[in-house]
This record gives sequence, structure tokens and C-alpha cells, in this order.
Amino acid sequence: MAETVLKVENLKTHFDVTKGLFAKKQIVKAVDDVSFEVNQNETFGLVGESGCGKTTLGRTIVRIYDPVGGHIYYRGQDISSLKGDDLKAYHKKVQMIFQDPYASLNPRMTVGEIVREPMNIHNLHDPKERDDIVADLLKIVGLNPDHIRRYPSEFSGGQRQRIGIARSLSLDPEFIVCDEPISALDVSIQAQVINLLEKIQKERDLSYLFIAHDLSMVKHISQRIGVMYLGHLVEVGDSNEVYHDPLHPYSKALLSSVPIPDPRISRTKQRIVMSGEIPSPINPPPVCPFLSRCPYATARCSEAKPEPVKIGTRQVSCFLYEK
Amino acid sequence: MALLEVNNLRTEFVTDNGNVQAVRSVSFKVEQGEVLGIVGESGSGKSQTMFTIMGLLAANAQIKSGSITFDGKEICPLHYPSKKEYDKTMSEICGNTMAMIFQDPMTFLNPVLRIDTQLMEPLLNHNKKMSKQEAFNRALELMKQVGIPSPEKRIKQYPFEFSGGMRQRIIIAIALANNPKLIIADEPTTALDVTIQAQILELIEKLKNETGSSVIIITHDLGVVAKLCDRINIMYGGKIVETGTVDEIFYDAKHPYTVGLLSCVTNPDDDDDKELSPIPGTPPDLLNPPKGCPFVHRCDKAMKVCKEHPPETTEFSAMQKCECWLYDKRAVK
Repeated sequence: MAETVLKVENLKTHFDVTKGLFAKKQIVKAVDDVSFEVNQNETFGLVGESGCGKTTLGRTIVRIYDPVGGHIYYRGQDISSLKGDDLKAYHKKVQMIFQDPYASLNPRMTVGEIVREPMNIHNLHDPKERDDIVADLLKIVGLNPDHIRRYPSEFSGGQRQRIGIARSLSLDPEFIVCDEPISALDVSIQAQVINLLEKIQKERDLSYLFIAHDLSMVKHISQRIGVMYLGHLVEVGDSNEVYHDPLHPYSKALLSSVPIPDPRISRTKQRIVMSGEIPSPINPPPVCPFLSRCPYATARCSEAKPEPVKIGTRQVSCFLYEK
Repeated sequence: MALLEVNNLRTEFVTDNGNVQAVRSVSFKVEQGEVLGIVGESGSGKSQTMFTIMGLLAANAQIKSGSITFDGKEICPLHYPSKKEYDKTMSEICGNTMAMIFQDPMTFLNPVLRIDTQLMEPLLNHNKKMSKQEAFNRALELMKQVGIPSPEKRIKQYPFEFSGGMRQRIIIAIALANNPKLIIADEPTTALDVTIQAQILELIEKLKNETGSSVIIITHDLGVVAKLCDRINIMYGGKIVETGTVDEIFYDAKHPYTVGLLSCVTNPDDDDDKELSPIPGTPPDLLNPPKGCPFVHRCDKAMKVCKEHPPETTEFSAMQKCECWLYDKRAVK
């Protein structure tokens, strides 16, 4: 059994969106009661529609957002309320790759400065050594070290994402949260970045939390996946198992919607029709989050929230599977 | 006769650094009732080809050559004596017999006009005899057709009251208003989630069967193409490098770029998670496109001739054609 690196327990991240001084309190429950684990050297994929809270969850784990409840354990240490130097030390181990390679790089810094900045902040290595490390990192991600003095605007989307990856590697982290690292890229470039991430993972013994809405890519890169819906983690399990035999009604509908790049399969594939769209996450009622769109909903579902049930190695939150 | 026939179309953009050759000699046909997919990466010229056809090019664009025949009528501005006459013809066609579905449902609709106004506009513009009441009834009918719940209430609302998927349905309804012969859909589902994407694709398929319209779908998602299309054009570097039926392209691709593109996508039904084989390098700069084949710098089968001369077309079947020197009679096998 591989060592658990990250353990998230009943994590809650809420945002207060109340407008006006005397208005009724309005809380967006972006992440509500989420629990999962990521093992050493593993890629844990997180999928769900936009607005389901997957990015918020990733950012809470990196502590860009502060949780309002629950715990995040990193190698046994509770990091959910770290401050100051302790938090800085945590950031040295856990880094993030952002979604939009056009917005996440400072346009007025050169590539060298961008990749070097985390080392300056953490006062890592001899200042003279840092240049060599930057050149090495650029080589690792497949960029020409001679481009060290260029600005982000001189690079294409795929190259910028490589710069973002080089920056996240500059502190030699153990864990990287990849927030939709490929969704802004072209198909042929996506495959390049995915292969690069897999190569770095093998070489540096990294663990990834891989957030994406492209289900086929998530399945390709992850060993285990979690399906999120409206702030809740509705199903967790081995990626092949979840893909071929989804248990939760939402996972079933989501996975049957994935377009298959193979016309013969595509013509015969049956899709589970899911009516409606994601309900508002503002002040949600304490019932099953999927109630309004679920074809199997019973009276029970509108009374309480289902607790996660263990089925083999899987975890699913649905009353259908309650013993 | 084909519904739409494009021949030797060239479009360039004048910039301070020189002319960007966005569309480089593109020719294709769309038959009645057919769904044609145009697949390519960003910057391959797929959207600009369609904008040239619809007359929606930016101000710095220049059409260098070509002819576009739609429904038996020449609609390439080069063949019109003045811009005024061209605009007159196009305003009769656009939104009437030819309609476009745009990529971004969030910005296409006018935020200060109610949905009914926006749905009735193409109806009233193109049908001089239609009364407002008739147009309103037709608008309601269209909203029902594209599957919007309680249309009587929703038709009086503003775009901000609709979600992304619902707005895309409204845009499709606007495109359908006058029963067009040809619908051009530019990345109709790229901005949407998979579950909503599946709903919209099913809707387009259903409407195509009901109305018998031809559809051109521009996309970079091979999954979308596999589901909807009869025929596919693969575009790269401003050219159509390969064309064929869906089965020919997916199971018997000839051009090295098509082969590479297909090996970049993962089939989620396949469990062995083998390493992806990406195409190395990046697409060509269309400011100075390569003299020979546009794919030469990324192709692992490139020969000397590929650098010097643009490849000639080789025909493999009634539908499948490919521009690559590998299949030339003179090539060493």
C-alpha cells in the first residue's frame, strides 16, 4: 500500500456573496464536505462540470483560499490553518500549475525571472546557482535555455504552459495541483504537455491532483478519479472502474456524454439524458445535490444528504447503494 | 449540383509585418442535406474560410482569388462590381438561406434586447409580408423546437437570465428562423460542458433530420466530428490537407498530419493508457508559410521534395483526397 501524501477530510470552502448591508446572508457552498486521499506517486483526477467547485477545491488545498471547515493533512500534518513561515514551508512542497497560460504569467517579467522568482522568495540555493537551475528547468520542459531573456508574449500557448510548469518545478516540490493545464491548448499540443507531465512525474517521484473537464484526458493520466457535483464529491474510485462502471447516477450521465473519437462506437453509444442544468450553489437545501436532475430520485433523496458508502475500493454518495 | 461550392479561395490579412496568408487556395463542396466537419487547430484557417464565405471578414482582410457558389449564385465579393451590390446580395442570403451559429453563446446575443426581439429580427427582415404577431408565434415555435422549457415565459426574458446551454439553444433558434439551406456552426459546443455539449449535438442532429438543411461544423474536437459528420475536411496551415468520409478519415487516414492528430487523442474506451504520440513542434507561421508542404517541419516522413514544392492532390476514392508527396507515383515506396 502506497503512502498517503494528502488527506482531505470533510473540507468546506464557502464564499459570502451577500449583497447589501441588511440583505439576507447568501453563502456559496463551493466545496462542501469533501473527503479523499492522494497517494505517493499517484495522479488523482478531479472531474465535473464548470461551477462544480473543482478549481476551488484545488486552490483550497494549495491554501490560496482558506477553508471554513474540515481538515487537510499533508503527510500527517494538518495544514488547513497554517500561517506565516509554516505556510511558506508548505508552499515549498506543494505547487500549482494554472489553467490559463495567457493570464498566469506576468507579461513584464522575462522567462528567466518568472522561473527564478519562487527560488528568490524562498531563498533557495546560492543566487549564482539559480541561473543554472533555471536553464536546467527550461531544458527539462522542452524550451530553449537561450530564450531566458524573452517575454511571455513571444511564446505560443503550449510554450507558455511549459514556462508555468518550469516555474512550479523550481522549488522541487513533492505535490503539484494541476488546474486544467491543457484546456486552453490545441489537441496536438495537449498531448505534448500530458507526456511532459507524465515524464516529470516519473523522474521526480511527484504526486498530482489533476483537475480537468476533458474526461478522456483525465482517465488517461489518472490512476484514481473523483467526480464532483455542486461542491460535493459524489464518487471516488479507480479510473478504469469508474469509467466503465460508474455507480452514482451523475457519474453515469456525465460519462455517457463524453464524445468518443471513433465513429463506429459513437453511432451505437447510448447516452443517458440528463435534463436541466446545475442548480445554483447559493444556500443549497440540505438534500442530495443531484436531486433536481436525477432520474432515480426517491422521496428519501429530498429528506437528507446521502453519506459516502464504501463499495470495494470505491466510495459513492447515493442512497441507491445504502445497505 | 452542390449546394455550396468553394474554388481556389485565398484570403490574406494585411498587417504591419506583412500579409498573413490565412486561407491558401481552399476548394470544397457541400451537398444538400450533408454534414461536413472542418477540423483543424487554432490558426489553421478554418474559421477564416467560413468568414470569407459569409462575408464577415475583418477590415484588414483581402480576398486574393477564388469563387464561392451558393445555391447557384456567385457570392464571392471579387465577382461583384461594387461593395454595395455585394452587400445587397449577402443581406438577402445571411440569416435567411444561410445562417451561422457562433462559438461564444455569452457574447453573441445583444444584452439589452429581449429574446423575442432578437428571435423576430431575422423573421421580420427577410419576410416583408409577415406581421409582428406571426413572427412572435413563429419565435415561440422555434423556442419549443430547440427544447427551451416554458417558452411563453422565457421569450420575454433577457439573455442574462439564461445559462450558457440555453443561450446556445437560442442562437440555434435564431439561425433556424428562416429554415436555412445551409447552417455554418463555428465551434458550437466549445464553450459548453460535456453534458450540455451532448444535448446541443443531439439537438443539431435532430434539427438537421427534420429540416433537411446542410450543416458545416467547424471544430477541433474529433469526438464531435465522429458523432455528427458525414464527411470531414482536415485543415492545416491554411490548406485542406485531407478530405474524406468519416470512416475513411478515422480508419484509413492518409496524410501524416491526420494520422498524428488521431494519435494525439485518447480513446477512453481503451484501458492500456499507452503513451500519447504527440506531433512535435508547432504550426507554421502564416506570415511566411513554408514554400512546400505546410506540415514539412513537423512531419517525420518529410522528403526533400516536401520542402521545395507544394504537394499535389492524390485521389484514393470518390471522396478521399489527400495533399501529400508520399502518395505521389514518383515517390520511393
